[in-house]
Amino acid sequence: MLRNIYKILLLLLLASATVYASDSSKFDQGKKVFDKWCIHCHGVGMPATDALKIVYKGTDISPVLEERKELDADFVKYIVRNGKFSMPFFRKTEINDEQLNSLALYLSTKNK
Amino acid sequence: MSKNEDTMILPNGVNKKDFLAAIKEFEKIVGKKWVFKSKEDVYLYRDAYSPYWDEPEEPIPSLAVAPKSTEEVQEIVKVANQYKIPIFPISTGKNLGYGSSAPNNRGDVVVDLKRMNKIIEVNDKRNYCILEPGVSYFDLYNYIEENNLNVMMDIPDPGWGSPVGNSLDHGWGYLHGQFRDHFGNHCGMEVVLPNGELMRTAMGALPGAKTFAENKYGYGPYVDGLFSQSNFGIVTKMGFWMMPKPEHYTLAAITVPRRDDLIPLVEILNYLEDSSIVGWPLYRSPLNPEYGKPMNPELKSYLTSKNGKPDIEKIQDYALRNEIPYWRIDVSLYGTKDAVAANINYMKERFSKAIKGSKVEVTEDYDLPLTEEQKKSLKHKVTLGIPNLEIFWLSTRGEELGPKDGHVWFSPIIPRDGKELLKCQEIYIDTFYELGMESMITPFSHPRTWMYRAFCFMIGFANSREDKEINEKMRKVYTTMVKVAAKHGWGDYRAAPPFQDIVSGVYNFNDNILKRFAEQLKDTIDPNGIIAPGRGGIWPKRLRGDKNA
Repeated sequence: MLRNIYKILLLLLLASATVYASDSSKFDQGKKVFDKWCIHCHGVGMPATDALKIVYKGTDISPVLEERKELDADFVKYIVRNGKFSMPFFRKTEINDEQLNSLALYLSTKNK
Repeated sequence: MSKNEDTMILPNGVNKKDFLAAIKEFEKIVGKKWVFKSKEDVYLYRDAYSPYWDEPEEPIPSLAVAPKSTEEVQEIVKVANQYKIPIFPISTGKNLGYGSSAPNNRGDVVVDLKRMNKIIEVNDKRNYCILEPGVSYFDLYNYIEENNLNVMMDIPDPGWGSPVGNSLDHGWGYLHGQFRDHFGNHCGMEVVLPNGELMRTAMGALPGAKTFAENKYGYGPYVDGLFSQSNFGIVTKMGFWMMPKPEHYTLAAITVPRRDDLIPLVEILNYLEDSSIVGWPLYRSPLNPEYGKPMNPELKSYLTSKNGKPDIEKIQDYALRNEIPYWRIDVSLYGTKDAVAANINYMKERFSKAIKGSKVEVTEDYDLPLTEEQKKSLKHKVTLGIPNLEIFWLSTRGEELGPKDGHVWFSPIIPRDGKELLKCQEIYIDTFYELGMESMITPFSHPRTWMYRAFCFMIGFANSREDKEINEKMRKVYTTMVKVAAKHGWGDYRAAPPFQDIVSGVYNFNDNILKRFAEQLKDTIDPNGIIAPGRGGIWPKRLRGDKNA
């Protein structure tokens, strides 16, 4: 009986480690997607950051996406697929669904 | 029948049964994953800056197919021929302001070449590269830097575009003149013809040729030009000449105090540019406020103080009183340190003799290679072939300015001549006045100078994804501007699909012989009219009447 409990605990531990490893690699992939597609406008000193600086003036919200604490994963996905003002939307040959999920994970969990 | 099939947009002249059969064929060629048919996926191919956003005429495709190889493109073209399906190729699909990733017509099937992203060769001893259409300027730059190669590519703004796609739409860049003409600077081409056959041009037509990207002409007629701003084939490979990285880079600013100084200024700069003493000259007027900030109210008042039109004398007086130079030109110089310094001294001498009050000042001076910090702080990254997206400042929110949804470029070519530019300002200002609109042009509006033997006097008309009236008004103004420009001998070099007929229509010497010649070729090469109908104003016979009466 005890042996079985150990076995179950070990399996759970392995499973959570796998999940963690998988989330960690998704997070890293999300960073790569950000660096390829987003940083050129949303990096420090870049045009979208300058624009967001005006939007969030007087608040404690950072205009730099990678510094945001409250970004929602679904919101990130929506903006990438629908665009916003002069930011165009991205096709799946550019950012596929898996990469988009990773990007959303990266931006929504980076500072939490 | 699925929900998608119910709401499906169909290609022009194709019935649903044939279209569904063609989709199955496309799926066999590229795999189901790379045929995009759901509304959600297809809508990602809309033009985000469309002047017809959400209107029945908006050119939303019926489908998108994304091949990985030239062979797959050939098979797609054969299926399109079988079912007479119009197909529209895109490279990286980032032609924002000129159509983005959308086709010319609602229902055309987009052939998305983004997955064809092989950098076939970069040679930094003979200074060329050979690329597939899905390679972006960012991709190429990263490859060059990672492999420590001693060449740079002439790039446009912004850097996510494709060298192949940009050159095919006559895009321009920022280095020395001969590199800035991206189509003129290409060398060698591989094309899938409308019947699915594969053709290589120039040296590429010689099997085993070792100079595909080095000698433009091979033997016989030069046909590459037929594949730019047109619809005679799908280009799957192109060679380009590259510039060796220089040892030294200097950015100099030339300022002059008076509006009319532009006339001798342009003459001298033409000499300097055409002698390869300087690279790209960036013309600006410091009278314009920094982006997004308000114009000085006194200066603004002079824009309409002479019976609703600008009072040029008062504007000039304002500039002199406030010691604001009327024009400022940034020029890049490349070469060895000594040669660049000698050229700066020569420029100082030329300008001080010719224009009273002119100044030449060095603003950046670097030995190459640059450090990462130097690259980041570089004022005009594009002048050293460093791709970026910083140009998006021109449509983002400013302190006193709301964000734009995008823009549609009106891009007429005018002579590289100061007098002609001043005349062009006047004509545009008069046109806006007659239209009852605030003029987007002022007596200190500057030319765009990528074309090394001509100026482009551009206007970016704002589009909207919220307000159809804005788009309707913009379309009317755009159309008027094309006609006014043509009356004065100025014609657009490039246009978004909704304006390609009107733009190509003013190139009508001898009863439209150029268009008629292109149509004859189209009917011969593409009898089913499947490749990009209407692109460049060239329509296949079966669609000619209604679209191009």
